[in-house]
Amino acid sequence: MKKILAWAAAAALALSMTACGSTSSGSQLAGSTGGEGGEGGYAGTTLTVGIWGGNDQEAAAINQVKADFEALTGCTVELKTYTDYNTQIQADFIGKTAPDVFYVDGNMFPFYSQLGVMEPLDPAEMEADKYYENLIGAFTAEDGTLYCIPKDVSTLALYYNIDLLEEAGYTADDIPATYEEMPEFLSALQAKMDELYGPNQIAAMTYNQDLSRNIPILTNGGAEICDAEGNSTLSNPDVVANLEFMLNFVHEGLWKTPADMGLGWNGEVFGTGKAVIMEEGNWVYGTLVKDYSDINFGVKTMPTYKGVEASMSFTVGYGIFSGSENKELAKEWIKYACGIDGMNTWCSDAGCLPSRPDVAEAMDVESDPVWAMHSEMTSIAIPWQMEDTCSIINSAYQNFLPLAVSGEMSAEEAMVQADQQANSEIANAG
Amino acid sequence: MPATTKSAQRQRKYTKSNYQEFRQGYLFLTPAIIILGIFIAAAVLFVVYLSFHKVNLFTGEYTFVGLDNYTRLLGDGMARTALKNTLSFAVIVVPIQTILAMIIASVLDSKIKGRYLFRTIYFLPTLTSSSALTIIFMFMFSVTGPVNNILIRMGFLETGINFLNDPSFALKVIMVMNIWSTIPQYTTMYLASLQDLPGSMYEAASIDGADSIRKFIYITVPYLKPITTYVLLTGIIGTLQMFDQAYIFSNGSGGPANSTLTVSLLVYRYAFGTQNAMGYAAAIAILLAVIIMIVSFTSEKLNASESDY
Repeated sequence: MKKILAWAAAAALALSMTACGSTSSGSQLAGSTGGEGGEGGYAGTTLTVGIWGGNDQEAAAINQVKADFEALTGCTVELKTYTDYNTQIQADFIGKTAPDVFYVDGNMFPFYSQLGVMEPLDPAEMEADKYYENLIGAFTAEDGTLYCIPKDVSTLALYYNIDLLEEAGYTADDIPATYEEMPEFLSALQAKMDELYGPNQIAAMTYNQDLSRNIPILTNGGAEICDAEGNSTLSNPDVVANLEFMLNFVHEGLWKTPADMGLGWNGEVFGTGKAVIMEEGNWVYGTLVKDYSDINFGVKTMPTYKGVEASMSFTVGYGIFSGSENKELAKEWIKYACGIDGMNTWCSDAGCLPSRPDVAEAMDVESDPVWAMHSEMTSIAIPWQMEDTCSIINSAYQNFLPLAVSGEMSAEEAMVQADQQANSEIANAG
Repeated sequence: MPATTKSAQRQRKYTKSNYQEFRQGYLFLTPAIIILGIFIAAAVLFVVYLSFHKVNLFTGEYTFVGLDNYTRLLGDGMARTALKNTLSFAVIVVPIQTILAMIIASVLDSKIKGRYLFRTIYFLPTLTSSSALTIIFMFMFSVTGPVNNILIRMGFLETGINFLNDPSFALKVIMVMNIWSTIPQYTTMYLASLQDLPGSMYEAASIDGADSIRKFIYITVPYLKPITTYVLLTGIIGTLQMFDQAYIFSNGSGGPANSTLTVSLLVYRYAFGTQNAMGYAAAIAILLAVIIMIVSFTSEKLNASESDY
């Protein structure tokens, strides 16, 4: 749900990004790459592209890329939009009816790459060295084969509500740069909020019970949540110690989930002024500007824990179906959509960070403080990707964490349960 | 007597037009038989076949593993939890929905004012799609939702209960939701049957001095027995197969702490997650089918064994 919401929200960014990126994207499309594909070289061919649905801006962005690509190559592009992506596309792989080229979520990549459903890509031909190295790494299988090209990336940063901070007598500079100093600050802030607005009306800070958000703290100091065979090791003492540190925030009442506040996701809580601080991805930016324009907010780097800077990055790439009959054209699509012009159009309109530095420069990401901050986070971000058992471990974690939160179990007991469940599921798997 | 044997003998010698009629009959049946054969018979047989194999659908590899999937099922703690949740769901939901539906139907059948309006209102929940319903209930039972607000205002609670994220409440919320949404349909069935109940029976009972509770127990309930059998059967099958509400409620995970994990949800997770374990999922599905058959059969026998009025 969080993921879907995140993606839905991602598209909302369009407004802000067209504002700061329209000049560059408009002019660059005219002088398109063209090159080897040739005008009309693929006339009469139909290329199917598998995507998941986003909101209007995301749809408009992909349609623009599609139209430009069609004009460039003369082919017809058919967008196949899935609603429950990772379930439906698996059925299409099995039925050999998968689209020629399709989205691959970074955290699902280890699972898909071992199924033999994707065509290996030649790093030299796809100009892999033009992309951020960690993102190419995220789409390289264990044997070193490259299967996907990253089309964009999103990172987490810390958002704060300027007005609420001021009411409590603080400024952005008072927000500690480390998690260790956070509890003291947050409890003073929470007390102020309770005093001003009544108890439990406004949360000092929100959090999510999700590995994709908790990894920066949980894996601190080299703690492993998953071993090389993909088995869950959530209950190892290092992880549990980090989890106890995290749970401390919750037990002190300093961190609330969006559900605790009766709302769907961080962006909604923050946007309705019910949270002073949140950690969110850049997809929330457009939502805040468009839907919650009365919120006066700023961004900071993610706090450090034990001196380690960390954020999370979420990337999506394009892969080619191994059973496709249009592999050459599919490669042309990737080269275009992940090339300078295509990515510029996509990222500007849909609202995500480019996966290559040259496009980031072309889009002038640095000119907007929020985008600049998210871009800065890219270098310290941990990619949201584990072994192929990632989603099993994450659901076991989400399943048992509430017991540790409610105090029904200790952190260790809950994680032992989570390990047991995940590993029994992994043992029963394929 | 001789006439009947004669006609029977005549029947056995089919005329040319008889055969033509048979051919026509089978011809008309063929499309239905083919469709049912492929989508039901073949599918069921394929599931049985899958359950004895380790399956990788992506590569099309089927390795025969004998009873391996079934023996694994015995030691699977999650499957036990799922089964326990599913059975307790059925045990609580089915009797409540049946009894409440019967009571509501008999109230609506009486000559109270505005009964047509009530019939319409009571039927509305059935018209709501179960996914929309789940989302509405999740809102109602959220920490800041109306249910908690009412309980706090009435002084029963200090702070809101996190119904959705507390393992001891999550399944109960789904039970409430399921009961609320299935009652109207069964009420309608009971009501339809009550329309045919002759009023003279109630009159006779009144003359004998029966009060309305007795009339309900000794006239209404026995009269509705055939419908009750049907309601029980569909109720049992529906609750044991419960999937959509648990799926939406827990976002597909069966959480918190597996409290909303049903057998169908477990089948789904093994078949369509990243587990890629279609063979094991098939074995669980077959176990569920067997359980449903046993429970339905027993309840039908129990209901039928009581003497009719």
